[in-house]
Amino acid sequence: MIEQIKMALRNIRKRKKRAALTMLGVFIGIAAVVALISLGQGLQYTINQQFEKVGADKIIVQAKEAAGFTGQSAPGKMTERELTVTERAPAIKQTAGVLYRAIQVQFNRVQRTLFIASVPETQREATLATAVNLWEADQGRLLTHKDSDKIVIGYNIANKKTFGKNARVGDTFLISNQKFKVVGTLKRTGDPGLDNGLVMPEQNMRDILNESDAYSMIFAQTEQGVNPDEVAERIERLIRRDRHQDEGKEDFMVQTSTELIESFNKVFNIVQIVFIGIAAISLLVGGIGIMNTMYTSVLERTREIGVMKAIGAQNKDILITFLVESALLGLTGGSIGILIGAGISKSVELIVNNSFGPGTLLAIYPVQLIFGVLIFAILIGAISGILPAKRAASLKPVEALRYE
Amino acid sequence: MKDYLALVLGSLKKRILRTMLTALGIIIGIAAVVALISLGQGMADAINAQFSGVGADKIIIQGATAGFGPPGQDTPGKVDEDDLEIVKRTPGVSRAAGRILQSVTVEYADTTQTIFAASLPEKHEDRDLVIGANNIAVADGRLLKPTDNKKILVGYHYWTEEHFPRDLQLGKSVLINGENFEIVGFLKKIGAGRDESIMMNEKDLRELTKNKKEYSALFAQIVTGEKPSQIADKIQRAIRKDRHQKEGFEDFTVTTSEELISSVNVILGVVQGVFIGIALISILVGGIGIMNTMYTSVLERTREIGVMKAIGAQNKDILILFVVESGILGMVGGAIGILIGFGLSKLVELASQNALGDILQASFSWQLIIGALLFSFIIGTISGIFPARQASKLQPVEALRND
Repeated sequence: MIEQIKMALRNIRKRKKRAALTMLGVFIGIAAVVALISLGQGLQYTINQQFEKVGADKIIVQAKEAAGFTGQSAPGKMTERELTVTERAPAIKQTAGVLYRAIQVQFNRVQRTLFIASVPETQREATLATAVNLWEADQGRLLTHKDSDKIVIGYNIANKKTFGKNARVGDTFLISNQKFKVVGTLKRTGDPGLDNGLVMPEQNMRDILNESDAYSMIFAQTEQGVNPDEVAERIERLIRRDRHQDEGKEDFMVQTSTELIESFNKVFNIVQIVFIGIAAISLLVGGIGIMNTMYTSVLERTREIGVMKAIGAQNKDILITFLVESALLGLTGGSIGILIGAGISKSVELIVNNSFGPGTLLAIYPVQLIFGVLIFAILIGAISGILPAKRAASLKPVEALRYE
Repeated sequence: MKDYLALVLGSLKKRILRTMLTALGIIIGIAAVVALISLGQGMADAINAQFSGVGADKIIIQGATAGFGPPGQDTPGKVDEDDLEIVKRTPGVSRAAGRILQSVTVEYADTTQTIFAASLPEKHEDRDLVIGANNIAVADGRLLKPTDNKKILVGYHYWTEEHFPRDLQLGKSVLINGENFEIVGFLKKIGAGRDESIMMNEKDLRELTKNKKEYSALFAQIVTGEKPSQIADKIQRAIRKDRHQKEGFEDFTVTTSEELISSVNVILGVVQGVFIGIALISILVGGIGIMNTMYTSVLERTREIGVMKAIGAQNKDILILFVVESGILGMVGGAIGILIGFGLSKLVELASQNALGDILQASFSWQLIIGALLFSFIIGTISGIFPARQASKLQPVEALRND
């Protein structure tokens, strides 16, 4: 085997330009695939980490929406009543209701429609709402259950001049002709709704909206050691009974945070597979390039093959010689491709983080990715070499020697 | 030139296997790009056709939204019957109508679904505008009359696909938000989103959702010859004045259908660009394959080149010879690639029509075909330049000595 690798290397070196061009074909494809996978995986990792911060013990209850349209109030909307029902479910540690609405906000003589979330009025509820929404203070402080006429603004409002200039702690916003003082700014979350939005006390929001008891979402935290799926089912049953609805006819839905992340990952994986599939076409083309090079190589070395056979080489030996050569072409192309792909995704990471803030995107290179791609490149090389190698192996010694 | 072609074809035929493999590289890449472009174009056509049903002469007025955030949030600004009157009075507006879109629960055969209900205005001229602009027509049964009470029309999606254990039937009753409604008509296909809805008279939907005078959106049609953007400005000014709002502080938006179409096309263009960009990588790889083949070809034909030079061929002749050869390699690959790409997108079209109904039609413009051919020829030519230059610079004596 070592002998065959040496021979293959010698042959590759003899036709340097051809080998280089053949490998170029492989490594462009590999680089594209590696860059796409490492960026995709990085994006997924970042988002999954956000979900993890929410914790697997959370349950979300909300009204069902008709598919395809947004901006409409759904029939099965949540209210104080559902919040109480959810509280009564066994193994519930804490519940909280949050309102999300688009409201007109004025600052620096500019008006914008922003997405606003409410902070509940008891401390325990407020703590849960803060945890599931990943509100973290950047400057100043977060809202507590006792605050009134105060707001906390999203990252972009404080840093991206949403209102023409950056808003700061101590600034005053005008919402529905009422003054609100900024007491804190939020850290960047990557969720455009929250980053461009703000948070205000529930009572303020109810007054502005003239909304007495509706909630957009009800969050529940389960006690430790219980299965959130089971608790979610209990909650669903309780609300169903309270609303006199039959199973399968609910106008609301109860999801665990694990279910949410799973459905997100499903969609994300499909998108990623489509992208990688298209990029993989270039690998196919690169493989065809290897096949072509190997056929040419067999043709050029017909006499050589004849000589080898005349002095006792078996068909198998010839086959392996050529297979090793094409696998090496693939492997070398693959290795360079991994390096270049990693370079591309690192540059993309740098550019994105420079323009959208640090930690937005992370390119990751799991060991499986690197080894997987290397093995894949060897396989592409070897498979592309099979037909040419077979042809070489099946040459008749006499015919081969006569060839010129 | 003819001699060049004959020579080139002769040499390509001599190494038929290599020629085929080299062309295959280009074929795959071109096929992928052609399929992606034709499907993307088809999708853009389908979306534009939907909008063109609405027509470029329409203006849409609705409450301002934050543009993102979780579902279920209301818009802060509302539009209502008073705004509709203002729009109707605006000079340059020929007709206007308001519509309510609201999700409701529909119960039938012991199953409940959350479905979108859209309202039909009762006033005759308003109703004609809505029906005309949305191509509303029945496939079975009848349209709603303004005098109808508690009757609904069922969107294409809900009577052609299984949503309830029993099929919905004309004359049958369904429970909507707990009240009885009779199905009087099945709607023909209107287009993607709008087929997933039911329609009822405005009065019924208002009662059902306890909505006295608000609309989800207002639609205005402008007088022929007027510019939509100018009329949109006038409408915006009129409503602003009525609401005592300052410019830039409106809680509503006025959009022309033109603006809607172009913003959709921009998004579609970006998505398509990314896909095609990734697919182009494979054409680049195919081009490198051509370059490789041409280098090999120059190497193999060193003696031949020497002979040609010895009997008087110029550097230029040799250069052209090889560039034409690689150009033809590229173009043949491109031509076959176009055919295969055509087949691919037709297959996707068939598959999507089987799965989702008649929404996607692959589009093949002659620009696409000519462009792809030209592109593959250029790729071939460019890939051939370096090998061809190497061939043309060979010294005749050296070349002849080569073996």
